[in-house]
Order: sequence, then structure tokens, then C-alpha cells
Amino acid sequence: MRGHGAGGLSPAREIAYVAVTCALLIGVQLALYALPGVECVTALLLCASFAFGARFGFLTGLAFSLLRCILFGFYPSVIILYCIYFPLFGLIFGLTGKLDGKKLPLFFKVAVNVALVALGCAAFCAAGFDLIKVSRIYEETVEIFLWALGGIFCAIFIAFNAVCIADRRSTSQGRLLLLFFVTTVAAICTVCFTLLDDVITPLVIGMTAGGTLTYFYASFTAMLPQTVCTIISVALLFYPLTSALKKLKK
Amino acid sequence: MINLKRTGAAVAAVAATAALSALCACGNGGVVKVENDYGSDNYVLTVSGSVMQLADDTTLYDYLCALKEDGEINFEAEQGDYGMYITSVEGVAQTNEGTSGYSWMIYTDLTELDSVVYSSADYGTWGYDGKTLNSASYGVSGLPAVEGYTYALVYSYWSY
Repeated sequence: MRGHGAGGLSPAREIAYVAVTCALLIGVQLALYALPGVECVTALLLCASFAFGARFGFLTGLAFSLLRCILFGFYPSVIILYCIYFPLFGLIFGLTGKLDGKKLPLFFKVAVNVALVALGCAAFCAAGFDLIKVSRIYEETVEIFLWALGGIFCAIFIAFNAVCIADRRSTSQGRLLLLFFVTTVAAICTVCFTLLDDVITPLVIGMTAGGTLTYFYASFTAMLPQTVCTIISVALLFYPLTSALKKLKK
Repeated sequence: MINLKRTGAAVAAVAATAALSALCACGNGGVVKVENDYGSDNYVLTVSGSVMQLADDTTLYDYLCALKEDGEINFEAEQGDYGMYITSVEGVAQTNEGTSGYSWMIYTDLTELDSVVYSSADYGTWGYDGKTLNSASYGVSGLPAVEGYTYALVYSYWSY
């Protein structure tokens, strides 16, 4: 009797797919290394986890994190950050894959709305009240990014709810609603990645409260373009990539 | 006796000229070399409007580039996630052994300006000419070059 692993794959195929996805993730990261804030790792891991399931996502995230450390160096804060974030990210989107073809539960709709409102308000407040104290070199850029990010979250909020209303009478989950859902969750995860780094790195290095705050402010210059990049790359690549990957399951 | 006076006056003039030159070198944004423990030099500069026209958005990187054009310093830098960072100065390159290495760190006496912290003693300090410079919170392209403040490129050993 042949056993089946993640997403209905045989163990041998699962191992091979994890290895190939891992290689693709490293390749994509190296290819875009020179472009600050631009990355496709999030979109690729998301689609692979969505297509092949939670265990596949967890294993790929963990393997990618360790392989990345072998190539780029073993820094304690990076090892902890990557080994927590990426397996968890793979797990979340592996579980999200179970929603494919089903109606999106009300709980998820409410959770997405709450997260969008919270992030939008946080971005607008930070920009309006000049809460992020960054170097004057970055001040203008960060302010523009914060207004833009708040605007993007508002636009997604309006569009998501419009799609929810339009989808209400449908018996099966709409493709557009699912796209909005995964894109939003991916954007929230990207923000969480930076926030997790803001906790782990100061703890590992042993920064004081003042140093931690400076590190937190400085990280905004990298977080904002990454979040915008995640929204664009996931929105554009989700359906083409998941469709292609699902064909490999057959 | 007259010769002795003349010699004394000449020595005083030479000393005064030398002192004035040294003062100009520092005051005009010239780069001062300070020998470090690793057989190379650290580099110290005080920002001056005589090197380039300074604006609010002039970065330390812009200022170093102006000094490079003047032949005062030679350095290489690369773009990273948090902006440009120095990879080598006067041919002395950073090294990375995974958990240890040598890097070009920036220290400055520009600690806080408009409620923004630009350097902190929490990350480390480096002493120069009776001043205590703090480790910078930003890289070369994130630090503003502010007239009168001192910045140092210090070749430093780090390890986890």
C-alpha cells in the first residue's frame, strides 16, 4: 500500500517537491537580492503551501530557513526569526488551501476586516501625528509610504467588502474573494515578520529599550516597501502559480 | 644674537604654519587617519560646508563621495536592505566568517537631532581626541551630514 503525504502527494514526491520549492525560493531570493524591498519568496511559498497543504508548507519553510542560513551565514537572530516565521507562514497558507472552492467562513471575513481597519488606522495615525521618528533622510519617504499604505489598506477594505456582498448569493466561494483574502493575510504576515524581527534581534543582541526603539523605527524603511511588494506580487501571482502547481499533483 | 632671533622667528613661523595647516585639515572636512589595533587605520572627519554644499538631505555617503572626488579618501560601498554600507576603505575590506568578522562601523557625536536618535552609546563608543563618539543607528546613506559634527569610520571586530 502506498502512503500519501502532503496534499495527496506520495512521500517521495513530497520530498522532491519540498527540495525543488526550496531551491526555487533560494534562487528567487538571490535573483532579487540587489533590489531592496523587492522579493517574491512570500508569493512563491504562499502558492506552494496553498497548493500542497500545511505539512508541505511547514517543511518547505523550515528547509528554506536552514538552507538560507547555510548560504548567507548563521546569525542567531536570523536563525530564530526565519525558523519561526517561514514554517509558521507555510502552515497558515497550507491550512488556507483547505478553503479553496468553499465559502469563506464569516469569522475569517470579520478577522480580515478588523486587521485591515487596525492596520489602516495605525498607518494614518503614524503619518498624521508624525509618530515614526526616523532619520531626516528617510522622513519624507516614510511619511509618503505610510499614507500610501493606509490608502492601500482602505482600498482593500472597501474592495474586500464589496466582493463579500457580491459573493453572498453564490453557493461556492468566489475566486476574487479568495484572492483578496490571501493577499490581505500575506500583507499582515509581512508586517508581522518585521515586528517579530523588532522583538527577536534586540533580545538576542541585548539592546536597551532606547536602542530597541531606534531599531524599530529604522526597520520601517524596509518594512513598507516589502509590504507593498507582497500585496502586488501575491495579487498578481496567486492564481497563475497555484494553478500551475496544482497540475503537478496529478 | 640677531641670527638666533631670526632662527627663532623662522621656527615659530614654520610651527605656526604647520599648526594652521593641521587646523585647516580638520576644520575643512579633511580626513584624519588614526591607527587601529589591526594594522590598518580608522578615518575621522568633521563635516564642513567647504567640502560640498550641505542641505538637510545631504547624507554622510554624499559627503564621503565628495571627499572621494577630492582624493581625500578611497572607499567602496554596497546597497543593502537598510541603505548603503561601507565594504572597504583604502583597500581594507570587511570580512565575514559567519559568526565573526571585521566591518566598517560608523561612530559619531551626532546623537540626537529634532527628537531623532542618530547614534547611541548602547551600541558602543569610540574615543577620539578627547571626544566620545557613539555607534551610529543608521548606515552611511541614512545619516545626515551635519556641519560641525564628527564622524568616524572604524574598522571593528565583531562576533556572536
